[in-house]
Amino acid sequence: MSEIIDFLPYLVVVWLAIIGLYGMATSRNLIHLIMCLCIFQSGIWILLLTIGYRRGATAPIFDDVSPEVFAADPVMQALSITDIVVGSTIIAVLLALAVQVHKRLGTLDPDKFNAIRK
Amino acid sequence: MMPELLPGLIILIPFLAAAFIRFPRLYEYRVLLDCISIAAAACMTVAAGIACYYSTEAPIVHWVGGWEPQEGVVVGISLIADTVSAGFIFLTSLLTTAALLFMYKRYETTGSFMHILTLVFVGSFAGFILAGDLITMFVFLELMGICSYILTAFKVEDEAPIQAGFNIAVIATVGAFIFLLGVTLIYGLTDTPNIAEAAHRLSEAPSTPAIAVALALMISGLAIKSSLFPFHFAHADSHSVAPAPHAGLFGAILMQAGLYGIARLGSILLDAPIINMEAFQQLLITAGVLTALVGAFMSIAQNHLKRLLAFSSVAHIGIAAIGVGILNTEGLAGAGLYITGHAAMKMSLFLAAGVFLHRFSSVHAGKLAGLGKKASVLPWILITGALALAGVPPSGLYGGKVLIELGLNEIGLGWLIYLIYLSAALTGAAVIRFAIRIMRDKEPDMKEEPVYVHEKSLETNKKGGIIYMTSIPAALLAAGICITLFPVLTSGIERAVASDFDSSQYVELILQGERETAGEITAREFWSLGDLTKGIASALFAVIAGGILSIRRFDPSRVTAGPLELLRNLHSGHVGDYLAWLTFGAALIATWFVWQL
Repeated sequence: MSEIIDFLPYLVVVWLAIIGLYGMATSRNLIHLIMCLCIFQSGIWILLLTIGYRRGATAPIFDDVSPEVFAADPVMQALSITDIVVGSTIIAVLLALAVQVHKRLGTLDPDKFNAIRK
Repeated sequence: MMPELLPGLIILIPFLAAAFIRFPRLYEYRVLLDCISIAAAACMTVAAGIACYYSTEAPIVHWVGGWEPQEGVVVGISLIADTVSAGFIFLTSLLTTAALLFMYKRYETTGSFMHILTLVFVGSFAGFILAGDLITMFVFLELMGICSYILTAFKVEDEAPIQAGFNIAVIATVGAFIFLLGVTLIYGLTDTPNIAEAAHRLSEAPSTPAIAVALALMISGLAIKSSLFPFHFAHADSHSVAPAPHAGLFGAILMQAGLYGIARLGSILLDAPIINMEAFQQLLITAGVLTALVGAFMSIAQNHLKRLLAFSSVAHIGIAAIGVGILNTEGLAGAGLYITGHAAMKMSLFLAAGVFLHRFSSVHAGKLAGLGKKASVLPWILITGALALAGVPPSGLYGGKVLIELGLNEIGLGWLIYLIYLSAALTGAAVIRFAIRIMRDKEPDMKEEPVYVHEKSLETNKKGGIIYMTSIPAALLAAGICITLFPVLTSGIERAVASDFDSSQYVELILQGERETAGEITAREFWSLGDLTKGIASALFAVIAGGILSIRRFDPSRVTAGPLELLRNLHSGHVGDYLAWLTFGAALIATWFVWQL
């Protein structure tokens, strides 16, 4: 039973990555597209936390406990925070561009974009 | 002077300068702004040059904060300056210095953001190249990406830059996240983010589909960054609209950084019995050939100089990818020499496009037609650059092709060299076609002009400094065209590649702290009659094809049916289409790796 439960997060990761990519590819609205990018990214956070997780381990804060205590992997937790920072920067840039698109074209539909092609 | 500190210093200089520029009210003094950024880029060039010199003895390994490996277990973050990485940074910071010198006259009213973004871009580039572990690589890769997205959309009041900026931001971010998925899986399998330690542990592990998927994800992520087919669409759009000096930097080094990552991980992490090396080789060579052909054919059908050069960068990264895909010393050294030669040429051609924009407010063949004598030396700069792109001896692109041919012969694919010469000659023909059109045509043809031609929001009324601005691409061109003449460079690259891309030596260097010094190699002969004939024939082909295609009847941009039109229609500018291509390509790479396990 516990093997199935250990395996489940990976299925969630694959599912989130696929629906995120599908949503982005078929999106008709730039804000919706950015939200789908966030969903794709959430898949990665779940993978990071799954890999860092250890059954029965405590939080990796060694302030008041001995460093020998069995703790979760701090590298993956640090990496998820880094990734959240990176992700929010990207989303800020993308949202600013979406605002600019709406200002210039009056629409957020990527089908209406044809300033550059061929 | 402690050489161990150099790798850290190389990254610190541009970041400190970028932070300092933003000092309150400093940006009002425009000259000071330029002086600080140019000085920072020049210091970085010197530091990288010194690091490159020291690393020919032994690579410099810098453990950040002094956290050295404890009893063979890595606990800290390493920055590794070997000859290849330090040399690549030297090239980059040299080109950045040229770009900043050019910006001094070209963009007099842009404030400080463009300088800050340029410096952060080049600083994070150095971080990515020097990084010894996968997580640091990811962080710097994405930081470099963010700067490039903002620079692409810098002309934020025009439509085309916003569209291209949005597309490249979405595509390259998905690419970086796919890379991160691979990094995380590798971490899960080996319990270390350090490349050397991971390679060491993977070499003892049994080969499983999980390893194949992890490597496939990392390779696809980097391939998206290096714009191999079918990931090149958004990159070509981005290079067409970015400000000229930055488009030059993207075409000369940004895509090549992704390829450097593939070469590093491919030769160090994959060099273990865990994966079928032949599958990796076939994949890279196929992708390279497709990229080279698509880029070349798209490039001859453009009338917009920057878009033409953007597709030409795509074609040349394809050729460099073939060199990397050969995976032997000749192939990798050929790719290195090719990238060096191409970087100088592409930068100078883009800067020449910048001079056109500054002086005539357009880079479109239809609108520039009828310039005649007014264009002075600019068309000749274009033609010289075009000949070098086609591979005329002794440019770096010629030397690179000679080495790539040796590598191809070794793996029994010698006939591919003719495809390489064909696509290189076509990119040359595209530029020559443009130069002939603007010199020969008498009347401007306004009907053809696409909307993305202007740099409206960056225009100034000052039109001075043309001679100063023209001298920068001319100097780059003069330096770049004779690269193969310097044996110190050609055999230096080959000697560096032989030891720096060797997996066991790399692992030894990081985990034990030293490796054997690189052996001397005999200088290569680049001047055999057969090679010279091929190089000159390719340049002649470029001139003749450029001449024929500039005739209205054979104009490839007027084709409205057939395979070329189909290919052009694939470049739809639609972010959904590009994402569909990306998903298809990444899925194909993963399937291929698992299938060929």
